[in-house]
Amino acid sequence: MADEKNVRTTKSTRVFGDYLIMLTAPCVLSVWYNGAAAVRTLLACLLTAFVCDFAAGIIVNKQYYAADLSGICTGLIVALMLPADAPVYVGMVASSFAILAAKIPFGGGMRAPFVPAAAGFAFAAVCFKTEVFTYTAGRSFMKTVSLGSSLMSGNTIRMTASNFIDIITGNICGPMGTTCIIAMLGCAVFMFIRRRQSLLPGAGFIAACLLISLVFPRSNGSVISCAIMELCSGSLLFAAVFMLTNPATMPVHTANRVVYGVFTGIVCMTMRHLGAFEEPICFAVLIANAFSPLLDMLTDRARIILSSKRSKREAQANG
Amino acid sequence: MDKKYSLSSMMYAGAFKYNPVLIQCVALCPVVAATQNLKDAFFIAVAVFADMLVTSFISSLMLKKTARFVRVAVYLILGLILICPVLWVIEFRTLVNMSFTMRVFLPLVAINSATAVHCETFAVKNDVRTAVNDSVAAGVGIGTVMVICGALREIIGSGSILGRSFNFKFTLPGMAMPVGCLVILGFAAAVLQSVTSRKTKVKPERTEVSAQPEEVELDVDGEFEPEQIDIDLTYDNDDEYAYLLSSVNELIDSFTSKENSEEEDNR
Repeated sequence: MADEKNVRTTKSTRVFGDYLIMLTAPCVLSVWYNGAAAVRTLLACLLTAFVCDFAAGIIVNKQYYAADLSGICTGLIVALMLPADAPVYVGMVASSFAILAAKIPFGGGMRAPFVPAAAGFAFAAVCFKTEVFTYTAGRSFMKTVSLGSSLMSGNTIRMTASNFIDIITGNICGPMGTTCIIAMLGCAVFMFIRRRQSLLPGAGFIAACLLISLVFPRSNGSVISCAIMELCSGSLLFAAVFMLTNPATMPVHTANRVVYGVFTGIVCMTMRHLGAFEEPICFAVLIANAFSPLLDMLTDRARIILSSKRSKREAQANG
Repeated sequence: MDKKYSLSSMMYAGAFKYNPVLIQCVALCPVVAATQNLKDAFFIAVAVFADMLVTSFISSLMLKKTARFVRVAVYLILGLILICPVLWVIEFRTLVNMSFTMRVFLPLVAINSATAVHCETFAVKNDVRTAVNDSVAAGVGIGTVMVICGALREIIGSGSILGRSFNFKFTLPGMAMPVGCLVILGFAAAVLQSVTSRKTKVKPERTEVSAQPEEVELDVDGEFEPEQIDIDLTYDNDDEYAYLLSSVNELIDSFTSKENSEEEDNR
């Protein structure tokens, strides 16, 4: 029992340690762009997640392991998806919901069937829609209008070189740690080196989103610029790297991971087209999480049926 | 089946230990959908209580010899006969303003699963007094959960109780949605499980373990025959509170035996 616990803690440390290293880049960039407001939001979410994790461990008679970094990672991911100037209580509510309702009741970060950070952000989006999707911290490009809200209202931008550089460097309005595309690509490269199998859902997800945005553009401008805006807006790439790669929620079989990612992409783009929220990626991730075990179960059953048929055929051939 | 149960033990079992909503997971729909505030929750709880009481009384008194498929239909009709006049009186003869959710879900209370489960598993197999006691216990259990959920959702979700505002700095409207009720129910079920498990915890007897494991001869050539172990999956016979589980098991057994006999007939 103790060995099992140690193995789980070591695995959790390894997985969430990687996430923590990757999260350093967006954290630094968010502080660079937003200053003290970003530090305040990050600290509020981080401390709330830690305190909730620790307190819940005491309540359920479970020893708190400092090496289990899932709570800290959850707090940071939630913080980076919020606007820098969001009220402190929004981050605290989102982090505490993620830990207390989505992580602890299911046995910890490596057992939670839903990505806790996605659950926390979704709850915050439902409770504080205005605070979560209003970006008042102006940037040099597009002032206080995010790419997501621009697409929602059917507007597009002219994709000049300077605009494109502003977009990929994250110098645009949006969630404080998810807009820098270069940082997200760096995190994806790190993930590719460490756990390349985990990137499969993210790859399927981005491919599905790209295809849907090319076929069904949300604005009347150039299809290419619309597709770039779709991919760079909100937390789409951030979710592909930090949420869909969660080993506890993704399917076990390799092919299913791609299907899982594609399914998340379809749900996300459908919600972007038809939904009321500017950034519905967390809801899409939660819905896909619910179907993840089903995919594995169906694959296992199909394999059993196929193997039994094959053995029957071989038996008939042998007489 | 007619057994004598004390009222206190039935209240403890029906309302607390085997709470219909938190442990048996029945009547979740009205609880989740119609307890957005305390007033709605109270009216729905009263309706469920009355429905269970009347239906259990009549089913125990008159429906013992009736076929099951007829009985289930009768439960629904009895519920509608009871609920519809109440609904009409509330809507047209009182000054109570019904919310939209209450308008939708109050008639649906007539067909809630808790009534059918309790009538089918208990009321038709026991005398009238015991059936009424059981329905009172179950009704109190469901009603308590509804009122608690309604109060918590109103306080957290809209920062007020019965229209009186608390002037909170912020509220969590998500808790007034069905997802909020499910979260509250989850935490309530965990607390209830924790309390009941502490109350009924029995320390396991210590057994001496021999230092050397016994040598076992493996019959490699012969066919493997697993040892037959009798596992009682039903309930502890001494536990008088477990009558509900036993009734549900009997119901399942009767269905499965019926299915088996039908399969044999088909063959």
